[in-house]
Amino acid sequence: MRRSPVVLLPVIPVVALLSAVWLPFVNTEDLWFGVPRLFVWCSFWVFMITPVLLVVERDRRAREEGGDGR
Amino acid sequence: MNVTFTVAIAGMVVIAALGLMGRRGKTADLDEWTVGKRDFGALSAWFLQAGEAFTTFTFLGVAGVAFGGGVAATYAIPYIPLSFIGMFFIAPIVWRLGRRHNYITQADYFEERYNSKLMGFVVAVMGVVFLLPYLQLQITGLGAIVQLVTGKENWGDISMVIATVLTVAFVLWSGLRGVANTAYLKDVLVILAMVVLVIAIPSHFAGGLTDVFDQVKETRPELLTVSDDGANDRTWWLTSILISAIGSAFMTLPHLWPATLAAKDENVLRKNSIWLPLYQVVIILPIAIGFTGAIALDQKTNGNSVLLTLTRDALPDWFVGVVAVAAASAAMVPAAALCMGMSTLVARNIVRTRNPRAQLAVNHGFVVVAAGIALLLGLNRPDALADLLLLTFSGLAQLAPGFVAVLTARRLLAKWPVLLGMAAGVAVVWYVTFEKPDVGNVNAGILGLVANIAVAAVAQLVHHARTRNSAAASGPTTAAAAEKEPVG
Repeated sequence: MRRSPVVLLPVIPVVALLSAVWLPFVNTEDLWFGVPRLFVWCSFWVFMITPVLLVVERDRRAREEGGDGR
Repeated sequence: MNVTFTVAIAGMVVIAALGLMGRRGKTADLDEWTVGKRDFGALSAWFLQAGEAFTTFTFLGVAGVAFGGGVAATYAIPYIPLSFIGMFFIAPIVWRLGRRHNYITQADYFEERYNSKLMGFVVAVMGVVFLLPYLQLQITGLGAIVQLVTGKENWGDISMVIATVLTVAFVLWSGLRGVANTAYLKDVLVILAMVVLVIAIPSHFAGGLTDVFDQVKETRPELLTVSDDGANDRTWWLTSILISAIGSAFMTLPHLWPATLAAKDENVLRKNSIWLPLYQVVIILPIAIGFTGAIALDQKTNGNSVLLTLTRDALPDWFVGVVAVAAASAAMVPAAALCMGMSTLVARNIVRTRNPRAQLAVNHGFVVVAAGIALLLGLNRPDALADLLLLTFSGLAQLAPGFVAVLTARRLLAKWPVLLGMAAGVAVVWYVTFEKPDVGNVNAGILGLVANIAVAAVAQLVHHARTRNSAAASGPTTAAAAEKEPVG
């Protein structure tokens, strides 16, 4: 079975979230929109998990319907 | 009897009534009681799967971590969403295997995949031992909540007894459908309460949420960053996320299995894994309330009491009662799922009665026993299982390598390497937790997993070599078979 590179997309939010406290522009005393930057960064990337998984699911369904999936 | 206590008790009765109404006809056997008819749609599965997100920890713990450690509390935001990335791929596989082999417990999976009753027994015992303190935590937490909001110790004790009896009643009567029914109300209450609190508390103490952070920046800027110093440093932050995400993604918590196995099809699980991460951002609300505590309360305040102390000072009694109901539901619903998780492991994988009626009787008996033990310890010796609780998540995470190794047709580990790895992992977790060697702030569960995987890999190499040697001695046909099937 061939795997689509699309399944690797979730790596992006994983790396973004796990690296958050090592990013100097995120792990700082300054605020974004009046709240700590780490709040904003973590919330944004958690929200991004949903569209990323939607893309993976759409790709999976397309491959399944095209007879290229499982 | 004051208004807060009356509202809290009335709310618990309503929660239990909803649970009792979940029953659909007489339960014939353990399968139906545990996973219904495996026909749960997206909504029911959603609330069951989300169940672990909002527990007493959401109310008491997260705000407390923010109060003491500032933005280090953000570790609680991503770990469950990250685990749903894993669940998106893994849960459908488990669901298919569960339907094919009729799993109703986590230990069923291990027993069937390794073709070993011993493996099922060991996993079931681990599940019961590590979950009991977690059950007690829910009950003790509920008592602490009522005590804090009413200011009376004996009312906390009374509420623990009432909540435990009500929870046992609806669990026995309705099984998983009862838990699902109460889970709807619980999540609605928790989210509503949190939204009101995150507006009302910062407004009352600082003028508004952004004013809270402005004041924190001026007076305690160290709370706005995660540094390399102190107990909640960057290593702690990362490894706490990792161990929790690994534990959840690889389904190491036995009480969460029924939610997956009861889904009507695998698309329900994929759909929920896609959308549930959005739901978890709610955890940011108690973190914000914890920050308000950091500027409004004495720094010596007990972290776990921060949210309710602020609530009591800022809101009228009746609303404090509503918050107490929401917090009580966040204890009762997980407690119900924990009772079910433990009792099914005992009835199915430890006691092993063949008669379906006897199996159901053992199961129901253990629900009462587990809840009774947790209640008695909660009332008389609330700290008795505190040490064991430290091991709950890190200890259960040691099931992850054995779980992954047999998830697909290509089996990576045999039975004994997995058992040896698990033993090594739990031993390391125990040693690091209680002997406290200097390992920085690395989570004990992560160190346990390193030992677990290393021991399992070496044992697998030995096992493989021995299997090949004995097969070679028996003749070429058997040797070829041994090459194809590495699992013992």
